[in-house]
Amino acid sequence: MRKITYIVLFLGVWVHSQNKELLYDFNDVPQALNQNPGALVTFDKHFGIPLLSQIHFNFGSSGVSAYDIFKDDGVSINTKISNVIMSLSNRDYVAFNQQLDIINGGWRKDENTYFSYGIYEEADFISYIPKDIAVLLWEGNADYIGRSFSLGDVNFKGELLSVFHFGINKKLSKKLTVGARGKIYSSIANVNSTNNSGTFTTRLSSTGDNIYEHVFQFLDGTLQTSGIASLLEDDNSDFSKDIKTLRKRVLFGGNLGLGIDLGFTYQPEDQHVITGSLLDIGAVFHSKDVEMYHLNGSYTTEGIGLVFPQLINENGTTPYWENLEDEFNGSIKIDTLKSNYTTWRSTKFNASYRYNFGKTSGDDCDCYAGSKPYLNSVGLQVFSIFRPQQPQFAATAFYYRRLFDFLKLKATYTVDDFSYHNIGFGASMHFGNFNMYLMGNNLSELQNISRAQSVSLQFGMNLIFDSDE
Amino acid sequence: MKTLNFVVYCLLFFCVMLVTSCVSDTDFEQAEDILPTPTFESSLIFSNLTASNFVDSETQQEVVVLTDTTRLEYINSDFFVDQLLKTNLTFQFTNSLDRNFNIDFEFVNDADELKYLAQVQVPSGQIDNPVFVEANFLIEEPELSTFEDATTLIYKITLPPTTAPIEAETQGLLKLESKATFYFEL
Repeated sequence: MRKITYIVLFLGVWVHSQNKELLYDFNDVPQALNQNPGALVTFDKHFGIPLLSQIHFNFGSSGVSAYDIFKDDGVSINTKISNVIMSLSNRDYVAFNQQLDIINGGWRKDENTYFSYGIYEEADFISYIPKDIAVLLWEGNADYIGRSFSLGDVNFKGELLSVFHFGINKKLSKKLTVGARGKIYSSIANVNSTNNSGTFTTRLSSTGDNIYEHVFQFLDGTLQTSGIASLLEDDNSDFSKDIKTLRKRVLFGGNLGLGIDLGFTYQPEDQHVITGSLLDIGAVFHSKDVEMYHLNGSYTTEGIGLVFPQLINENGTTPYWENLEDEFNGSIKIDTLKSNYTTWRSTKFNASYRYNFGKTSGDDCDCYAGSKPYLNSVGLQVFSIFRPQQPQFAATAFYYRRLFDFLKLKATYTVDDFSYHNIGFGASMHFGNFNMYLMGNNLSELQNISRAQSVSLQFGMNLIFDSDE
Repeated sequence: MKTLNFVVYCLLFFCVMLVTSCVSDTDFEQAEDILPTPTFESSLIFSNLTASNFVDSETQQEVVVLTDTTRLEYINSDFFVDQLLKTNLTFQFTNSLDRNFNIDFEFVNDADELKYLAQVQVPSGQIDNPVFVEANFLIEEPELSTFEDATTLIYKITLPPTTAPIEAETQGLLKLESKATFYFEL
């Protein structure tokens, strides 16, 4: 239990938002196309170094950081955990997102059309803080007589999947570029429990027969899993077999789904750029290796009522305990089902306005933009992701600087659920056809990373080809 | 040029931040001390006994001893044995019968061996002036380990000799309410 608590709390220390504010609209990096299939493409061909073209980690937790729990201040850690649990609400959450590009590439079909493709692996997990359950488990019900603990606080989903994608980027006019990316999802494993309801209450007896009554009211909870039951149930301890199974699922062997990304860039004038994208509008259809657990029912008990039967026969006493168990099990059902189910992906929304200024005086040419590139940009971005309980939002102000031909920089200031002082910095380096980028946010917390409520890092290497070079 | 210098400084700052980023002022060893200590209140047994319960239906005489028994499977469950730090049993009696009682709560194992005994004396009461008695039994080590061997609770009511026994028409009620407070260390 201690280990589990530790793991849960440690996970709880970090939170993420899937926001890639540094990569978005950073069009020198080919992976910006994954954030907006309608981004401006300024090169002819790109090919990501396999497994290294994009490595992305994003962790976060709203409401709490590792420092809140593990700070060395002489206060008992159990007191600090209690304080943290009390300070959190069921709208706080912990989340984790990781992506790894396995293959990523693209080529220009003609002056106005760019195709891109790839395969990436993604792990995504979000859990809202089940505050009521946490309070009940951490403190018990003794100090909360009359309070209802809600099962509705249990709200999480996690998935591991591979994504095959192909995108088309089309410049419709000098002002407007649009793009779309089709995706096939192959789910490796999925678990989710959302839309739960019902309460558990210990309160003073309403009949007066005993001191308390315990009320399980309208419990209705569901845990859906796919790709997990077979791994847990198999008797073999040969982990390599499980790895083989997982490998098959990566390559279309899992539960399949379909999705699409849409995006555009509108440039009414050279210096003004408006962009927008919707990512992962899609769903995964789970039919293989599915297992669903459904909890349902209501039950109230005041304990065991002894009736003192006049004559106790030799067969024994009244089976009060067995009767209580039977009544409970008859009223609160837990069914294991094999029903198919569908999970919607967490759709992401990005939009930005960018103002360019300060043209280069050299021979450099942003040829597909039809002009010399600007050296500087400032602008605003907004991001939103649709989550089980409510959308999460982030707003970013950024400054982009084309420092040299071989070095482009972007600095961001982001306000989101986790922080009002999230400063990020990204650099894209270009040496001949070789490109490497590194981006990270929450720099102000890096001096003591335990204080950070979110951390996002992206790293990648590409080969980029441009006919003008 | 000033802008360039600024950006270069920013880049250098970023690099320095990355290289020197660390976790400070924290002590992750504290994780070893994490110890949830929830306290749960749970209903136990209850009963409402009237005169008819204390009078033998055949002889119409007051009985000497009245018992009822229930299993309490959870007491010696692995979870309780491993995680229970202490427990407090609360028994509340409301007696409006004009009769005193000696109460035994016998916690026994499957071999009917007594593992814990809680005794309460309930004085006689009146219809319009019931007697209220509350008894608490805090069970800690070393008693707790023995208590946790129990699987069954026997509620035993002994009626001491009296010159005014309960009759079938006697008015009043002996009411028992009870709860257990479990102190866990997980």
